[in-house]
Amino acid sequence: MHLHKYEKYWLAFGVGSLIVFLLITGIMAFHNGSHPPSAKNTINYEKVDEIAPFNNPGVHKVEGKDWDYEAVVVASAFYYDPPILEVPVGAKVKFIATSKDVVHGFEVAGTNINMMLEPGYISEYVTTVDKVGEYLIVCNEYCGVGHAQMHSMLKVVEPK
Amino acid sequence: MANKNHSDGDLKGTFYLVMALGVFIVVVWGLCFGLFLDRF
Amino acid sequence: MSQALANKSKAAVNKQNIVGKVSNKVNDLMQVNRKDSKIAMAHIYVAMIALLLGGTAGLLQVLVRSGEFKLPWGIGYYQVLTVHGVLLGLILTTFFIYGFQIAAVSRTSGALSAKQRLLCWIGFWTMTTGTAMASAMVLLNEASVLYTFYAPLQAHWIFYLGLTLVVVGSWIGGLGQALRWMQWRKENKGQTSPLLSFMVVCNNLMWFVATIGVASEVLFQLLPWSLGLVERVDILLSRTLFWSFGHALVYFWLLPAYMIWYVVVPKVIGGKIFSDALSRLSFIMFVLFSVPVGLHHQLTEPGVDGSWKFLQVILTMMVVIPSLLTAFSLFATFEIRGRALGGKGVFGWLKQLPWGDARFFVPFLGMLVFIPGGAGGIVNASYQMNQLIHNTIWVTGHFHLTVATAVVLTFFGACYWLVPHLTGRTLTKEMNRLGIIQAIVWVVGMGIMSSAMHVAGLLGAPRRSAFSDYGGADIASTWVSYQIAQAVGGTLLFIGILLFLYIFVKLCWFAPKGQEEFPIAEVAPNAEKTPAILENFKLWIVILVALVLIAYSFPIFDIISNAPLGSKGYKLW
Repeated sequence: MHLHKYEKYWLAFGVGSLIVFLLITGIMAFHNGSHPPSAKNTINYEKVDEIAPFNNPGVHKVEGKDWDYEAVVVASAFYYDPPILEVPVGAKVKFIATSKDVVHGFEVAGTNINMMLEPGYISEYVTTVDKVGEYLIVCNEYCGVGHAQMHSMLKVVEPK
Repeated sequence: MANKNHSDGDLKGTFYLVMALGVFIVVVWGLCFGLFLDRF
Repeated sequence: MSQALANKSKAAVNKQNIVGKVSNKVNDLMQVNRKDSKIAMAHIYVAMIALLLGGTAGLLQVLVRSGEFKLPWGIGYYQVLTVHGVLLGLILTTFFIYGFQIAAVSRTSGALSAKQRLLCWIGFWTMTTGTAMASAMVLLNEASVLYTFYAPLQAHWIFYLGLTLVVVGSWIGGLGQALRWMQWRKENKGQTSPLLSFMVVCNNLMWFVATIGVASEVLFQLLPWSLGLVERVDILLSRTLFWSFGHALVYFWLLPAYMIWYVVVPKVIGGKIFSDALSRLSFIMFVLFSVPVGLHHQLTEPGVDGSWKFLQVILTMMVVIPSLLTAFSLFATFEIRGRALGGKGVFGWLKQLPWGDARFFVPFLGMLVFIPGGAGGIVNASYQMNQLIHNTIWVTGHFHLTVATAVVLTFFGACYWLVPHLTGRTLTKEMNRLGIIQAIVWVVGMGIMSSAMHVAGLLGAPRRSAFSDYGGADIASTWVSYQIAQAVGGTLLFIGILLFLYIFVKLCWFAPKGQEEFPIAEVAPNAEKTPAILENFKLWIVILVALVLIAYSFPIFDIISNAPLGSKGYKLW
C-alpha cells in the first residue's frame, strides 16, 4: 500500500509520540515502581471488622517497613471509617482500604490517590504526602442513594 | 492507496494541520503528566 | 426502483444492451429499497424517542448538580442517570447505527433478500422488546444501577433480561446486514466489495466479539443471581467481563461516524475517497484492537496485576493509530477537493469547502471536536496517569466530546440526507440552515459543559454523583461554579436536541416530496487496487481471537483462581 510522503511523516510523528508516552509511563512503572493500585490480596468481605488490619481502622505508625505509616480505611454504604485521617507531612504512607458491601471509590481530591474498593479485595497505594493541607476524600464510584454524601478527610499536618 | 496525480506539494495544508493536531495531543499529555508528577 | 426508472432502463436496454445493463445496475443501487427503508426508519424512530427522553434526563441531571434544583415526586438522581446512560449510550446509538447500517448495506450492496430483511425485523423487535422491559424496570425504580450494572448492586432480573434481548437482537439484525455483504461477495467473485458495506461488516464483527463478554456476564452471573438461583457472584469477574465489552462499545459508536466521514462526506463536497485501501486498513485495525483493551477502564482496581494492565495499555495505544490515519485521509480529501476548486496557498483550499451545506458542516464540527476528545482519551489510557482523572467528571467531559459530539453530530448531519432519502422527501434550504444553527448551538453548549467538566475533574469532582457540598469542604465549593457552567451548557444542549427533533419531524412528515441523494463517494479513478488480504475476514478473526486470548486469558484465569467469597446482591437506592 502506497503512503503519501507527508502521511509517512505524520504517522512517524504520531506513532513516535505514542511510543514516547508508553516509554515514559512504562519506565515510571517498571523502574520507579509507579503503578496504579493493583494489590491482589483478598478478604472475606462479610468479616472485615474481625480481620486485621481492618479490625482497627485509622493511621498507625509502623516500623521496619518500606513506609512510615499505614492508613487503614473501611468503606461501607455510605461512610468511611475513620472519618478523618491525619498524617505528618513528608511521611511515606500506605493507604489500605476495602469495602464491607458494594463497590466504592477512594479518591483523595487534588492528589493521585484514587482507587477502587471492591468487596473481597484489599486496595493499597503507597505515596509520600509532601504537601500540607486538608484533602477531601470522596467516593467516586456509584454505590447507592447516599453516594454523594460519602466522604472523609485526609489532613496532612506539620509534624508535632 | 496512491493517487499518483497528486504531487506531495498538494497536501502541504493537510500536513500542517495534522502536525498541529499532533502537537496539541503532545502538549495536553505533557501538561497532564506535569500535574501527575506534581501531586502525591 | 420506481416504475419510471424501470421503464427508462428498459428503454435503454432496447437501445444499447450493455450500457442499459450497467445503468440498470447503477439505478438499482442509487435508491435504498423501499422495504429496507422501512426497517431503517423503524430503527431511527426508536432512536429519536430515546434521544428525547434521554436528553430530558440529561437536562435534569445538570440542573440538579448546579445545586439550584431538586427533583420532584421522589424521583431519584441515580434513576435519572440510569435513564440517561441506558437510553443515550445503548438505545439511541445502537438503534440509529442499525438504521443507518441497514440503509448503507441496501444502498451499496443492493436490496436485502426476504430472509435478510426478516432477520433485520426480528432483530428490531427483539431489541425493542428488550428496551421496553429494561425501561419499565428503570421507571419503577427497580434498576438504578446505571448502564454499567455495578454489581453487587442488584437490579430486577427483568432489567438484565431486557438488556440481554437488546444484545441478542443486535446479533440477529447484524447478521442480516452481514449476509447481504456475503451475498454480494458470492455474486461478484474476485472484486473488491463496496467499501461502506465492508465497513458495516467490520463494525458488526467487532460488536459481536465484544458483546460475548457482557453476554456471559449477564447470562452466567447477573441473571441467575438476580433470579435467586445463585447466591453470590464474583464482582471482579463481572466487572472485567463488562469492560471487555465497554470499550469496544465506544468504537461501535464511533465506526459508523467514521463510515460517514470516509464515504459520505467526500461525496457531499464533490471529492473522491482519498484511499480505499487505507480506509479498509484502519477499519481492520479497529476490529483488531477495540476489544482486548478493556482493562484500561480498570486501571485503579485491585486484583489485576499491573503488567497485564500495562499490556492492554499498549494495545489501547495501538487503537489510536487508525485514528491518526483517518485524520490525514480526511484532511487530504478536503485539501484535494479545495485545490481542485481553485484554492491557493497552504490553507486557501479551506475557503472552497461547502461550509453552508449542513451535510458537510455538521459532521465536520464533529471531526474537529474529536481532536480534544482523542487527546483526553490518550491521557486517560496512560497507565498510572489514570489516577489523575479516574471516575472524576473529567471522564464524563471526555466522552461527551467523543460520543456525544463527534459521533452524535455526525449522526445528526447524516439524518439531513438519510431521513429524507428514506422517506422520499428533500432537505429544504430552511432545514439546512436550521441544521447548521443546531450544530453551532450543540458545539457551544458542549464546549461550555465539557470544558467545565474537564477542569472540575482535574480539581477532583467525582462523576455519577448528585449535588453535594461534601460537609462544607473548601475544594467542593470550588466545584460548584463549574457545575453551574455545566448546567448552562447542558441547557443549550437540550435546546439543541429540541431543534434537531423539530428538523427530524419536518424531514419525516412535512418536507416537500422528492428524491434526496444518499451520497456515496467513489475512489479516485487511477487508484491502486485494494489488496485482497484486507477482505480476508477469516485471517482477521483468527488474529482478533488470538489478541483477545493473549490479553484476557491470564487475567481472567488469575481472577477466577484467586477469587474471594462472592457477593450477595444489594439494593441501596
